[in-house]
Parts: sequence; structure tokens; C-alpha cells
Amino acid sequence: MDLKEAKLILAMYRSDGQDALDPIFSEALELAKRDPDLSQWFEQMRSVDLLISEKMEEITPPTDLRDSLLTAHKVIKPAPSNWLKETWAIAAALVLSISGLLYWVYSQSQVDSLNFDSFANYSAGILEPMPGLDFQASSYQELKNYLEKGGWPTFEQLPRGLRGLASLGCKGFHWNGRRVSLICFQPHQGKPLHLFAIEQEAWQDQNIKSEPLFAQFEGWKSASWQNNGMTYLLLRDQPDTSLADFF
Amino acid sequence: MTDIDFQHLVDQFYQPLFRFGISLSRNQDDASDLVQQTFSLWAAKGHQLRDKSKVKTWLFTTLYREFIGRQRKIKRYPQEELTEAHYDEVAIESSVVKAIDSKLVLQALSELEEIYRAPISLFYLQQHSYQDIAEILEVPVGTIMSRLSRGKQKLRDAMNKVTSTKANKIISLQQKPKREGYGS
Repeated sequence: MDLKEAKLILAMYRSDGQDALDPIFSEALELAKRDPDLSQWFEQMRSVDLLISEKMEEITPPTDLRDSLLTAHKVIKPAPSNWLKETWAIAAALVLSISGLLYWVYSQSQVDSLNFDSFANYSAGILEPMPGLDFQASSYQELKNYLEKGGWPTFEQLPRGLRGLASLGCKGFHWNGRRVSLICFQPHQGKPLHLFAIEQEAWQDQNIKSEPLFAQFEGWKSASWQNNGMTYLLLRDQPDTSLADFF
Repeated sequence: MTDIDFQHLVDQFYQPLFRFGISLSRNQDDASDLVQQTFSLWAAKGHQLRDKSKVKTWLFTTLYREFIGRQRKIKRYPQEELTEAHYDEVAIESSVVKAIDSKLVLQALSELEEIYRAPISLFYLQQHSYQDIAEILEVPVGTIMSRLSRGKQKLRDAMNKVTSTKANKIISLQQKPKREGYGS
């Protein structure tokens, strides 16, 4: 493979590292490791690509688009066409209402017990010792695909500093009846980073916001934030470093 | 599909679909409309999809088909091969790198021909594997690679041009000659 061919292939390598294990890139990546000029070119290209990707992610839909989509879905539902269907619908609605009320009472008791500190402590606990991972891959995209297929929560947008880092693997587990995903990343230096995602918006003890909240507990550095009904928790067992650098 | 399932699907995909839609259609209203139509088709036909792991690809494919349908450009594009001839490196200027924002990216994307715009948008959205991109655009992976290679060069070229045009406009406004008075 010559330099021009290597550049041609490396130009298609995506900045988030999802192509790391794709064999089509392996020879060109090896060549970049050995050739300082090619390596420098590759890094510059990746940084520009990453910047463009970030700017595309900043494009936001109109504020009312989501509501219009959900409203349109409700409007286009077919209405019952005769009295029998209507009767059945009323009966079903009654049953559903009663079930809904019972479920609401049950879910309220569950929500009340959801305490973010408990979740953070539990999450830190399962990292000591490092748990067996369900699936291992150095590409974040592969891990994301694996979690999606299993119906586990996934990460819509990674913090800037995690993009492009090699990943170690992922795991899904349950906490208080909620599904939780974990992805572990290996930074260039220091101890691994552990990113958790849980489908939970309201917490009894913490008001998690979209901006990350940084904290430290029992030797762990933590950052927590929320997006689209999901809560994210980033943990690192390295108290002397700042997680803010990854955002 | 229940309201909750539908809402979950909307929450998961409406933003990346909108970004893909606006990079294709070049305006917000058309992009919103494409997203609306995509979810409307999902509500009507989504239950026919047996492999639920393909939902994301289905949604992006549907949006792309809808866009192509509206553009009345249903004809297949000629197959291209990945050759060295496609590689003609365009360096991006450092002043351009500093000026990059989402508006510039969208403007530069809009300068690209359609066959490059769709794969380049999906490349930078980083939501899909190359196989998925090939499925969405209904062309072989080799063709996707080829279009990406050339499309990236064209995008860089477009970003250089857009930035330089903006800079020239600013200079010309600053240098606009003052009207001299009769008495001077």
C-alpha cells in the first residue's frame, strides 16, 4: 500500500473510532503508525472531521417538532366505526383506567424509592472488582449496536472527551426494575472511565440537569447529567483528576 | 404500536433524522416535513418490519426515499469504483477551521451535488456503519466509499470557498468609498 492509497482509505475513517476494528482500515492504520508525516496528516484530518461532526450535532430541530410528531400520531389513529366497537372501547377504557390507576399507585411507590445517590453508590459498587463485561470491543459503535439490539439504554451523544477513545466493553444490568447500560472506556492515560445510562428522569434526592454535575464520593469522581429522559453517570476511580476535561 | 413505544422512537431518532433531512433539503421546513412524513409512514407500515434491529436504518431509508421522491430524481446514479483518480487532496485552510460552525457546514453541504451530500451527511452524523449507509442509500459499499472520498474533498473545497466569499464581502463593505463633498 502506498501513501496515496493509505490516505484514500484513512480519509474514510470516522473520528469517533467506530471503524477501529474494520479490517479495511487495518493496513492503512499500521502504515500511519510507522510514518510520522502520514500520522500527522491523519490526526489533522480526524480533528477537522470531529469538528464537523460536532457542528452537525449542534443542529437542533424546531422546538415544536417533537410535539407535532406525537400529536399527529394521536390524530391519525382510527376511531371506532360502530356501536359495538364503541362499547368495547368504553369497557376497555374502564379496565385500562382501573389498571392505570393501580399501576400509577405502584409506580409512585417505585419512583419514591429511586434515589440518585443509591444508584451512584450501586454503580460504583459493581465496579469493585471490575465486573465481567457482556461484550468486548474497542469500537464504541459496536458496543452501542450490541446494547441497542438487547434493548438496553444507549447513549445519544457522548461527551466530547469520550469520543474517539478506545472502549473496553459494555454490560447491561437491572437496578430497581430499571434497565441500566454500562460502557467502559480506556483513556490515553490513567484509569478507565465508566459511563452508565439509565432510563430515569425524576430522582427523589437530586435534580439532575442537562449540564453535568461534578461530585466526588468514596474515592470516585463522578459527573451526572440528563438528556431526553435518560440520566447518565460517568465514574472514574481516580480522585486526583478532573472529569470536567471530558466535557 | 403503543403511544409509549412511538414516543420512545420519536425521542430516539427525530433529532438525527432532522439533521439528515436538513442536510439533504437545505431548509428547516422541508426537513421537518420529511421527518413528519417518515414517522407517519412508520405509524402506518412500521409493524411490517420483522427485524426490529433495523428500525433506525428503516427510518433513515424512508426519509431518504421520501426526499428523492420529492426531488423526482428516482433514476439510479451510475456506479462508481474506488480509484486513485478520485483522490485529489484539498487542504482545508486554518482560517476556515477556526470559522467552522453548523451554519457553515450546512452551507458547504448545500454546495455539493446530491450524490455526495447524502453519504457525506451520514458519514458526519456517525450514526451508521458503512453497511447501513449502503442500505439506506441503496448502493454498494464500494460506491459509498468512492462517493465519500470525493465528497469529502468537495466539502472541504466548498468550505474554503464559502469562507473566502464571506471574507471578501466583509472587506468590500469595509472598503466602500466615501462620497466626497463638493467643497473639498
